[in-house]
Amino acid sequence: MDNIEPSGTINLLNLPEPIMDSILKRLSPMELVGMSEVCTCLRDRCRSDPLWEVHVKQKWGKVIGDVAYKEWQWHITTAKDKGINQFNQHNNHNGSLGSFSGTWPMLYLRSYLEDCGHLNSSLANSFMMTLYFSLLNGKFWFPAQIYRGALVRHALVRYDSKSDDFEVRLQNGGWHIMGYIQFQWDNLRAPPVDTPPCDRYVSDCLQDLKPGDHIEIQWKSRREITYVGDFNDFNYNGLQIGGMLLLVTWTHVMKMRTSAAVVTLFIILEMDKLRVIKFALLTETLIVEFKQYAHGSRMKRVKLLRNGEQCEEATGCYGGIRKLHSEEEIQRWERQKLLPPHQTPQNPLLQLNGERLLGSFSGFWPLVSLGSYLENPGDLTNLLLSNCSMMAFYISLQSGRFWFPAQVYKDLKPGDHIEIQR
Amino acid sequence: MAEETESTKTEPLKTAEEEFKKLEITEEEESELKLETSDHVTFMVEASIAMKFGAVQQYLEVSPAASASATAIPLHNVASRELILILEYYRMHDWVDAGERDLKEFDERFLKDLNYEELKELLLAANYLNVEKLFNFLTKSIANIIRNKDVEFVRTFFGIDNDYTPEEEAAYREENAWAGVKFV
Repeated sequence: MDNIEPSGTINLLNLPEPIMDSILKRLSPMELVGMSEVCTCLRDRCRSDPLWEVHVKQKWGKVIGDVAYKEWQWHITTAKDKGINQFNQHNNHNGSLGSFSGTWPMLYLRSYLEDCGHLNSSLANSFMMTLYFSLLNGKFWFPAQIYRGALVRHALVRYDSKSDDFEVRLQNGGWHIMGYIQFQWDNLRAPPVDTPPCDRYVSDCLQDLKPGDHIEIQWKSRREITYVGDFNDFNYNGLQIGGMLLLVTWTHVMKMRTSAAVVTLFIILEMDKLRVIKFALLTETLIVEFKQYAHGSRMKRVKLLRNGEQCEEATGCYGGIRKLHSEEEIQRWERQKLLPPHQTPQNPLLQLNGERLLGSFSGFWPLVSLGSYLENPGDLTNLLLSNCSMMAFYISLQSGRFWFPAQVYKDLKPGDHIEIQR
Repeated sequence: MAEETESTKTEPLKTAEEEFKKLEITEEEESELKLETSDHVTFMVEASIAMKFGAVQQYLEVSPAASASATAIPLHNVASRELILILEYYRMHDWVDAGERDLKEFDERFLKDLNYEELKELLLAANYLNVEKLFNFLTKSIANIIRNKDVEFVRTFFGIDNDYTPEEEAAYREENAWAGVKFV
């Protein structure tokens, strides 16, 4: 045969490209890296984007979306520029910052890369491979959305290979690590739309909506805040900023009173004789009644303007609507609704008033979370010292000075009081 | 000519052989195509099998007359020993009665009888003929062979030399260290 070397050895370099591609695409990421050590020709082939795109999609496809790819492109470009300039500059930065959107004071960080030094090298030409490993090593904090109780909000997350789950940061002034809560794969999703949380999503489905459809709606609690959030609010209340939340039940509405965030609602529009969900598409106004709210609730019925946001003090502000098309997405939401009452996210910002409060903390600044605290412990000291702890306990509870951990039931009604961490 | 195919087999597989005979008896009327290999051996091959070869399809598209005429379809890059193997593979996999286990056993034996050089030659032939199933089977097998082998093995297998300079190799290892890959 023509292709055989005189020695009878078929040289790799003689193999037609489809053959090598077909062999290489069957190797695992680690095996590909190993193969790239064989020779320079194989190195380039083993790092090619089409090969790695498959691995990226396979491993990370469920949690990274277009936004993450764009952010990665940004980091790669930054790293390349740095590489070119590194002979002129001596800076100690070993990481590239993330990219910002919005203007001060509403800057919004969309991703962050730790330790990008390696990207100065020839690796910078391997977009997909470096993305794969930056995700795997947990160096790339990428934008994703997390299911939290019945909510979904924007977050920065990174993979933790040791426990095979994700560490989550929510924007809270800075991007603080969210307690010690790890998120499982199933509780993450890639942002379904490219709209930053600070912007109103432009609905493209209003003409097609019909009873029975499943939709998500952007929502925020007050008019005066932007979709990103407001730093004054944040300072005052420790509000969540920059999140996008999905909202299902009153519990979460109550919670959202403390939260200046973009909220997305999950609503089931449904023709049901007992609980008729009314739905009217007027020329400029969409009236939606939410199945999950009790009759008489101020949240039960809202009018949505087709163009522009609709704000009322009682109901908050609604943004764009996205129709859920895939059965998988709908089922994911249904599953979320069945979860036990939503746990209040651990708020990392606690303002303590010194000696008059005793509380127990877990974590360290700025990641503290308060398990409980006692106001004015001074005059209970005698009781405590005389071993009357149950009596002291009773009095503390009775007088409302003991903030104790408990869970809030789902069927809270408007006007109920809930504990809010400040 | 089909008989010649049989006779040139060094170790005909029982199942495939039996099946082949069965085919001859039951499907005597099946049309055949004449294929000529690079070493000028002609084969009469069942059209149902020959038409699975992309190269044959392509040839017939260009000159449709060849299917009816006595002209042999030339396979320039396939030698007779490769074509025999390819036909053996396809006859087995076309056999309607072949269960999954039979095929698995067949595939294992098929592979075992090939040395690395023959394997690569067969792969080249499969690539030229554009026979998808066999091509995928062979590339998968090769991937399994080189998987988790050391670098030297892979170099020998593909007949290539290490063309990294020491500096390049150091830089390259540093890069891969970032990826979390450590070399012994």
